[in-house]
Amino acid sequence: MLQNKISEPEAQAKTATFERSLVYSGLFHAALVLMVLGFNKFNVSIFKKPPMQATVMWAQSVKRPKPTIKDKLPPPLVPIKKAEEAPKKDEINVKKEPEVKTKEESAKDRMKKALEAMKSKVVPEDDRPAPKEDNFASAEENKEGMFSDTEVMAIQNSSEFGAYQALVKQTVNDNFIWYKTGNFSTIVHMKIDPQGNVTNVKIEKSSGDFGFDQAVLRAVQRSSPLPLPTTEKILKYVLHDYFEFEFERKN
Amino acid sequence: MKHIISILLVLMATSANAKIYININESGTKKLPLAISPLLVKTNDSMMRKAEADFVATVKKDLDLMGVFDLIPERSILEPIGQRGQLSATKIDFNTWKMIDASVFTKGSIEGNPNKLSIEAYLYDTLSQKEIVAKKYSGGVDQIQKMAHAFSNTIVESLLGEKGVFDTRIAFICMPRKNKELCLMDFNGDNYDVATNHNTIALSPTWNPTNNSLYYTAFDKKTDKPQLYSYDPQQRFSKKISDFPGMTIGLSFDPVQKLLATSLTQDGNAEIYLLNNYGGIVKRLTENKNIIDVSASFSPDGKEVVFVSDRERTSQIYKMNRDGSQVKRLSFKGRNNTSPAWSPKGDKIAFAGMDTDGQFDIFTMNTDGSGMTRLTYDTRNNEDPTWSPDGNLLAFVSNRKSKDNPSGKYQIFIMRPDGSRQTQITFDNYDHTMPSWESK
Repeated sequence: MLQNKISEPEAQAKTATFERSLVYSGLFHAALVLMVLGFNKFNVSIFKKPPMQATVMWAQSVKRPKPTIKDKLPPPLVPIKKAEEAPKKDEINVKKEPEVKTKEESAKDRMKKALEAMKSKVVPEDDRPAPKEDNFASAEENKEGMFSDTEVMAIQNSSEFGAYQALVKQTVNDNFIWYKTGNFSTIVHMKIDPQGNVTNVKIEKSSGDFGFDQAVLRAVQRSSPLPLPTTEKILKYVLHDYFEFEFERKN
Repeated sequence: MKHIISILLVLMATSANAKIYININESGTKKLPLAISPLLVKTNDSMMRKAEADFVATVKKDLDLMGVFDLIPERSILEPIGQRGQLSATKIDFNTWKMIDASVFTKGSIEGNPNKLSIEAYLYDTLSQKEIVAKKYSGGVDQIQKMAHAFSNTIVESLLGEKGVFDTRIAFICMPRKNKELCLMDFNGDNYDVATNHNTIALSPTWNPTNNSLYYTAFDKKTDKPQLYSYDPQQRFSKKISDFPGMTIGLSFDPVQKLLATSLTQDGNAEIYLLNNYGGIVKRLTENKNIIDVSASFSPDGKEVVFVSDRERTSQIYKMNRDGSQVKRLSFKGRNNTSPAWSPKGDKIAFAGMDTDGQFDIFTMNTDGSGMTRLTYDTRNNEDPTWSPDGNLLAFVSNRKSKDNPSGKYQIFIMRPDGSRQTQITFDNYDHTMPSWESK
């Protein structure tokens, strides 16, 4: 009865405000989603974590002798420099010009060649062509061979990936020997190449105990080559992404 | 509300893990390949060459015992003999070691004369191409074993984080004549020594880690009851501590309050008590008429005590809090389970259990009684387990017959906690019982 007392224009005004607020709220959420999508895109194409570089191979206290030119085959643990940029064209032109080379320069050239050889050994993931894939799911399209977050999530949640993770864990765990009790935690990042060889090993977080860190590095290196996933999609993903091992010992 | 949900959705969409995360929190089972190369003998002398051989052989034997190293045979070593004296990590050709798959390897040199020699010994890591142990030992040729044990200890410490047990001793009861005496030897059977001369029966040695002395019991000639004694290995001096009206059976050192748990029969049947250094009763832990409670062994944190009781007719293993509360039965299989020993790591209890064939064997179980594992099989009796101070080895006695023990007397053996590498370390033609590994 009371409602009847409200005049019609008043009622209309009320519905109008409600509708307006609905529209605003819709717009706001749409803007939010767009922002997120845009951020994701940026994240993938620009702000993506730069590929890992093995700059520090050991615990900081260890100094490695510099590799000499004499080393024909680089030891497997020499820091592998990733191809950052294709050499500029004019540089190549300069190179092509016949010049009388001093000893130093020829040594430099040999170093470069050795580096190129190293680079060719490690498949640079950025060089791979974008996979052509008919995507039936509504996920975003693949660009530059990257995996979208939703794809990564789907892969990481799959049972095949879980089984592979368990296999890698067992392999590395088998090689890890440490008896001392106490609180230790070392985080190691690494990648694998298409043969399963462990590359780009880097201590991300040291335990502060030299012996423990060494035992961790020993375990990772002794596990090389690691088993590879049998599913192609997971293999692709595993080669693309990096491994994070957290070695822990707690009392 | 809507906003919260949309924000949550946003967060979920962006938090996908862009890495393959793997957590590793236990030790593996694969052995670490290790090469021990001969030392460079700088003084060409037959005694020195023998000292070198002794040193290397002892280090090899020690490390092999741990069961975690894969010792690369000397004949596989590819490093040219001319390089043997090259001890600088920057000049060693690590490729020759990588090729034989040695993760770590040792090198060193020995010089001087048999009365005053010095050994430089190094451990190198093939991966980091660095020396990880550098030691110099000096002394006489008769101290070669000690130097080798010290080097083994350091190697184990640097690789596994925990010092080795190669400088520890084992106390036990031996029967050189008709009597049982307290005896001592190195962990590997060297330096065997009959310590006491009671001419009665000595029993239950247990170490007091606070001053590296021993407690044990021995039958008193007058009362004909076992009483509590202490023994100081440095002074070779043994002293009676207590004179209880009944018997004193079995001893275990309390790591927290530095007390001694034992069973006294002064009330008619064996009950577990806590005693102080002077043999005074601090607390009574069990109180049951006509029930025997013996063989107490403290957990390493001192909070619990495992013991043997016949309260449910058969002899079984129980545990209780250190004040005697919360008694819980741990062993449910077999009719006769005895001599429990709590591991220094705290995770396992070793004990001897009688089989259906009437022979004892060594088992381990988790501290809640689950996960019972058999360590010895079909080798007559295996009894009296005792843990090494790092918990990586077990000593026990066995009367198994073999070419090393043709008489079938009880000999002391050591093994890994999984039952592998059972190695006989005493060889005399009489019984050895109740080993107790020096605790640190």
